[in-house]
Amino acid sequence: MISFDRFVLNNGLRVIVHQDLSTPMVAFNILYDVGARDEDPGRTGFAHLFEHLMFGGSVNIPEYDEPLQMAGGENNAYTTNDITNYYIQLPKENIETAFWLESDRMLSLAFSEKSLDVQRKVVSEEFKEHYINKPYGDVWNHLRRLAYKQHPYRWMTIGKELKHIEEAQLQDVKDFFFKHYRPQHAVLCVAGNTNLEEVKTLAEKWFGDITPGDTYVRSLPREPRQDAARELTVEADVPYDALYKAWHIAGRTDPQYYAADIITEVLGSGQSSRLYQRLVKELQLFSNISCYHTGSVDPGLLVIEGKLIKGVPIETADAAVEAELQLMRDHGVTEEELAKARNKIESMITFEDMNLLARANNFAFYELLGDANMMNTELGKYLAVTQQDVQAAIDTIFAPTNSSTLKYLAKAK
Amino acid sequence: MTDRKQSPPVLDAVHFHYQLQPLHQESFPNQIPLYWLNAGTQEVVQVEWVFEAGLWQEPQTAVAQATAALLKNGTTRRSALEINEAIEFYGASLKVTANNDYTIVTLHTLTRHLPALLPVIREVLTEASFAAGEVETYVRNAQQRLGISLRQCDFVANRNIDAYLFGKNHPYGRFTEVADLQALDTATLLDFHRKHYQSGNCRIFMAGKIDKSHVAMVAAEFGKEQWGDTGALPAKDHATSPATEKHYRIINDENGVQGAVRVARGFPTRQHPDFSPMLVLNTLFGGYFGSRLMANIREEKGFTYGIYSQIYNYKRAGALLIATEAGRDVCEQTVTEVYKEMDLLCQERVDEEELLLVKNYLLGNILGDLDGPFSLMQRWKNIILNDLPADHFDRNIEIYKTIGPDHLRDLAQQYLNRSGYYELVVV
Repeated sequence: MISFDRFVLNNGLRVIVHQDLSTPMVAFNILYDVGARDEDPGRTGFAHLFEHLMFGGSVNIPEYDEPLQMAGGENNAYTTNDITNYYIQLPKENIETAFWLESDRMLSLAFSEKSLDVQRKVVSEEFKEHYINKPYGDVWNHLRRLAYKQHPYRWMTIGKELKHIEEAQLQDVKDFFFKHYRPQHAVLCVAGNTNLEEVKTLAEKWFGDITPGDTYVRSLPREPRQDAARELTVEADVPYDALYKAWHIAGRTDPQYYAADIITEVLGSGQSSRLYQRLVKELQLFSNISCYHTGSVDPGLLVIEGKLIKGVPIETADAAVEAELQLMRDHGVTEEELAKARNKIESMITFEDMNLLARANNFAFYELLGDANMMNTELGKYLAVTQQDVQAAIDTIFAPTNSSTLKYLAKAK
Repeated sequence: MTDRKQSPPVLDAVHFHYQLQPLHQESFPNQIPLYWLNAGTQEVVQVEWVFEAGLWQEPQTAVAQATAALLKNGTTRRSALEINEAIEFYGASLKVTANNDYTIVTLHTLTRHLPALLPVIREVLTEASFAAGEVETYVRNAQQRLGISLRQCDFVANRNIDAYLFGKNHPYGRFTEVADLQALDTATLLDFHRKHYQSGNCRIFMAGKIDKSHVAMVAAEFGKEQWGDTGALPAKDHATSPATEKHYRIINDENGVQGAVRVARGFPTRQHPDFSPMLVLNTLFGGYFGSRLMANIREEKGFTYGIYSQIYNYKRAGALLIATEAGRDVCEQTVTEVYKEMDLLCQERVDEEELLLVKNYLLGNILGDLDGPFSLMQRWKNIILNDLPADHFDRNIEIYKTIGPDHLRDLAQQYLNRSGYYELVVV
């Protein structure tokens, strides 16, 4: 049982406090309920670009990083298709520095042209480094567009194209800030060597007077049920053919999510997993293969991806993956496989809970999903999944009409 | 009314007390040392078996890494699948990695599964079979991975800069070619395994929520009689032979939109008195988000997503490396700016404010590192494997707290002057 307290400020800011006196540190995690799914299709990549701008100074504090480093702290942030998360770890004695810095940038940013100009370039380089100047780097651009037709998951967090980032204007930045970075759209978790009273006092002092402004009500297009298998073939300057297959799965809070997670464990976790054993070791069709899911809040994707051994026709590789899925449809998973997946998940959760920042991050995320106490109930949900639940999930997820196949071929030289 | 322009009072991390939790040491009847510590609140444990079986010791290129990669792919009694299943069933992970100096076999598991897993690890360490079919599969897949890596400018740059620094025939500088992979076979791997994976060449490190009963389990499985070959290890000595040419430009991908920039020079190992003080200078120069290099080249000019400098921590030779991926058309300007930042540190003393910030940042990080069992063990392992004195940690803390601007400028003039630097851009 990982204990916590919870309170809400008058302006709507939700606060979770988790005490752990075994550490001399405090983790300060603030999560904003905005991600790439909230972007305008004509201005993708903005949530992430904005995350960079959060470090360009706030209304009363010209530099964000310096005072934090002076306080012995370290910080970073990340953006996903669902959320934007900012986190700090610092010695407990300097906890107030975190409140001071984070509350000021929630109050208002400095909105400097110079910062926007530089971060446009920095993010463009990030885009190039990870998605252009790298073999197979644009796969997710293709795969998302193939699997999603309506929902904004059809673009990557980094954005659809460089142009969207290069064209971002300061007015867009301001609008985005006042639409999404309001206290009622945020969850704060303070974890570590602190207590409820201290956090209450500091939260009230630093965040209490920030006005909520208008509330953004998310209303995203639902992805319609896919009614036919999809396929796309792309040629690129890569050394080996690769196969990517994706199926729609339920969202993060749906009961099917846990079964889907277990399916990815059985198919793709470790060298004793089905796909690795059959397709890499025995049939020698792939040089590597993996299976995972996107873990998104709205309905996500379960993905199988692998690089083919040179000379193996892509149809042969695809058929072999389909044969494994057929086997799973026909016979489900064994009790032993289920036990193994449970052991793996229990182990993963326990190792993750070792880390103070991870605990703070998870508390904030679970509170956003509806209940911080999911921290204590998630494992139970996995352990309760039966063979029948898995079978039902297999039948739904691996329905032939639910698949998107991307054949990513090495361009003939 | 809260004054938001005024920062709350801060306690400088230089005034905190830092203590590395003591380590227990056992010596088993077969002479294997076990180092262990009990820390943390989760019921987990990490066990590491460290062998002097790195690239330094390998008889031919790629042998140490192939041996590591194939270690758990079958024993004389069980297939690769059976072994992997025996470990993965418990939700445990066993990683085997060969680096320049060591091969490290690392087990992570919930503490309660340790008794079931230790015999499997024992079997893997002592009876690995390196079957021909497994070697063949490994070689083919490794060739494909290499083929993909060679398309990437950062990979090509990393290979080349190490070759310039240490020499193409030095274990730290040579790199794997397709022919090296093709030359691997069962006999070579078995021989390397037999000579190096033995009790006389093994040290064990264990950390987590553990007590004497877990020590006894490890002792029973690994500490009684000698295991593996008992012959003396072949002595190895390699002299570095740095390249004479210092300036390189390589086009790896005509259509590349970025270049990998590397600026580097040789540098002493941890044993040298300048090593620890240089960690402070390196942090200030390019070791954290607020560094001089980041402030100028990312935050001022936007040439890159990130730029860092680092000091290698290999056992027998070292280097100082500045590395970044920058826009293709600004690579040369990036190189120029790196030199400018070096010059500045040689010419001007760092101001007290900036130095205090770096010290607080560095020490605050160490404080955060001192409460997890694995990071505590990592610090001890560094001390033990590098034959450093037991008070090394305390001495370092003292250096971080007290080093001044004059000392940093002296270090800069010695190690951050332009002469002696290799310079490489790979597009």
